[in-house]
Amino acid sequence: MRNYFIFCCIFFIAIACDKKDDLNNQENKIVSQIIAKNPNSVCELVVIKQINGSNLFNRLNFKRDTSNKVLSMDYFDSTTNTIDIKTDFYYIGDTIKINANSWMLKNPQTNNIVKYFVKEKISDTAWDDIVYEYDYDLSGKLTRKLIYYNQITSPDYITNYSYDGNNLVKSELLAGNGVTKIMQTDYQYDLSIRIKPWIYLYSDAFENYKLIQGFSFGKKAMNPVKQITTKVYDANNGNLMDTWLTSYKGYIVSSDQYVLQVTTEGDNQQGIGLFLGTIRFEYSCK
Amino acid sequence: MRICKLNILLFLLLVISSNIGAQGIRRNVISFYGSTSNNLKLTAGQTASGSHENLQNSFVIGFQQPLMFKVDASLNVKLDTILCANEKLILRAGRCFSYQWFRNDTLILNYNTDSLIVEKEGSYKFVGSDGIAKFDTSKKVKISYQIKTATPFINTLIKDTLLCFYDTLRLRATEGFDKYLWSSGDTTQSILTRNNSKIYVFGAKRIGLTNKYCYSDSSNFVLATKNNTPIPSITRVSDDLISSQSLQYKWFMNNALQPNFSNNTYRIQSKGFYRVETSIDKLCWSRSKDFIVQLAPVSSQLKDYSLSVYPNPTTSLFFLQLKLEKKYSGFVQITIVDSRGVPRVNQTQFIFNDSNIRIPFNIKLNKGTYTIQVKLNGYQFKTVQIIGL
Repeated sequence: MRNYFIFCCIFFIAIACDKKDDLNNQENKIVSQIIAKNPNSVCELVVIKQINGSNLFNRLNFKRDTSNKVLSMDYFDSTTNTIDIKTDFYYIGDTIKINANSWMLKNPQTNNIVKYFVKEKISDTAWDDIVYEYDYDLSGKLTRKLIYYNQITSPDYITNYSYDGNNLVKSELLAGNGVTKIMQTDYQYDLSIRIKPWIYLYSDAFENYKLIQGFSFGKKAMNPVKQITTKVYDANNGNLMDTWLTSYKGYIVSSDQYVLQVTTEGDNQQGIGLFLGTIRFEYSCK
Repeated sequence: MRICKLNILLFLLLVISSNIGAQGIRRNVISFYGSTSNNLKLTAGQTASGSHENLQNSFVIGFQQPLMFKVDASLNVKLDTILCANEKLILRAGRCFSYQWFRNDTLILNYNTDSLIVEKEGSYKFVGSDGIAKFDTSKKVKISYQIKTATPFINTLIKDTLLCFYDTLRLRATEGFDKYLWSSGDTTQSILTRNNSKIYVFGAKRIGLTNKYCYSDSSNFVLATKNNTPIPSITRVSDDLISSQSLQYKWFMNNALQPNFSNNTYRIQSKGFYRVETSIDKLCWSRSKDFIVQLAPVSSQLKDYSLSVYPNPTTSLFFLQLKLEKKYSGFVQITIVDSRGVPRVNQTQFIFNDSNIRIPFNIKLNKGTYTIQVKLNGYQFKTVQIIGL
């Protein structure tokens, strides 16, 4: 009996160690876990959290209703041990009110967000009114983002997005003249693995990179991203100011193709902000 | 009945006059009948002296006709006539001795001349008399009004506007009119102007299939003014934006006018895109291209921020987090020194438009206390400490 107990202890320790190794392994893995118990159900992200061993760095939660509509969002930041964002969403027709200073407008047919308004503080007494317009092609892919400051009628910034299938392969952030390049991002994917819709990878989502993962902003990639390279340029002379190079490794994907974990290495892709270190994902299926 | 009485009175007046002198009678009667003037105003309601004056004038023309009265119940317009809004029409009756005018079969009081000015829609007719016993009624004429033609706008401007231009200025009137008439005499929907001018336009709608057009009121006007101010340019010197020389300056940040800056130098307050507008006459302003500021100085009054590290204590992986009151772009310089003052890390990273800056560090920290210094665009934040395990 005693030997049996020792054997069991060793066995469980071995499993635990094996699991830890799994998390630290940089190879991609398909695990037997199934996310969608019903194969016809649609699963959406509800938790995105950064972990390191037992340390939780941050956690983004979406609360969804029975139709997967996002009702609220909160973001916990371990670094400061604060809940930085806690927001309920109010749906009024096609409008989604976030708070007194921001709202979104969705296309009622596609549910894609087509407009996002935000009042942004620029000093103690001054605010910018910024309108983001999102243009989609007929297949529902986000092709262009236009940014308007303070009720101007021509865009002040333009981002163009290019795809290979549903995989975003390039985004270019330009000044309003449509020529001056401010930022360019190139994406590489692991085409050997097929995944279910996962996260948005828009590298210029500075306005709402937390929010964006809970709502519909077009198509998501069908393969896991391997590498993202962003180059930032000086708009006034075209000189390269900085390059952010990030690798995405150690994918753990469920047997029904939902990404459960990824580990990023390298620079922070600031426009996708959330994804640093090892990130885990949880889904809600309806 | 009233007409008859007055006619008889006038007839008697003529008969009495005949006793004064045969030639005089002839003159008067001839002139009354022989005149072809549409403005003849001799009516039954006028006084004898008024009539005499008209007759005297007519005498000069010198018609010679016998005394007789006819009734001509014709009218000068079609049975269905459409008028433009605010348009007036003069209905002219055939020649009679006296007239009664009716609108919608109701007698128009105090109006008994051979013409009627129409300003309202309705059915009009007149009853003419020979002054004795013969009456005749004209056909009814239906007068209707077209809806007032909408007023066009120039370049969708709803107010009178000054428009400055360099070489030429294209002006477009609102679409949808059948005809256009510009103050310049042009008749196209859009025109090109090259000179200083005050320009307005009328739009016209065709009435049915007729050749008649109803014109609108004049549009807003555009004061087309040649802009002689050169296009300015912006250069950056340290934290100042400098405009090329002019006489007047207006600075804009993110399209918003910066009211406290009216000379050629603008001290950068924040990241964003800037432009300057200059003028040599305060009338026409020339606009620079946008100048994008990606590296803005951090305000020396910056109070509302937090700088922290997590986890703390740590062995290797930790995050530096800088939360700011607004979004910044620029270079973050981080220096980590150990307790002896030896630098362990000295790195710079570009931050793009963020207020929540997270920077990961994956370095081996030996046991001890380390001090982290952070600068953003040269601004030094308070240091934080991290403990290595």
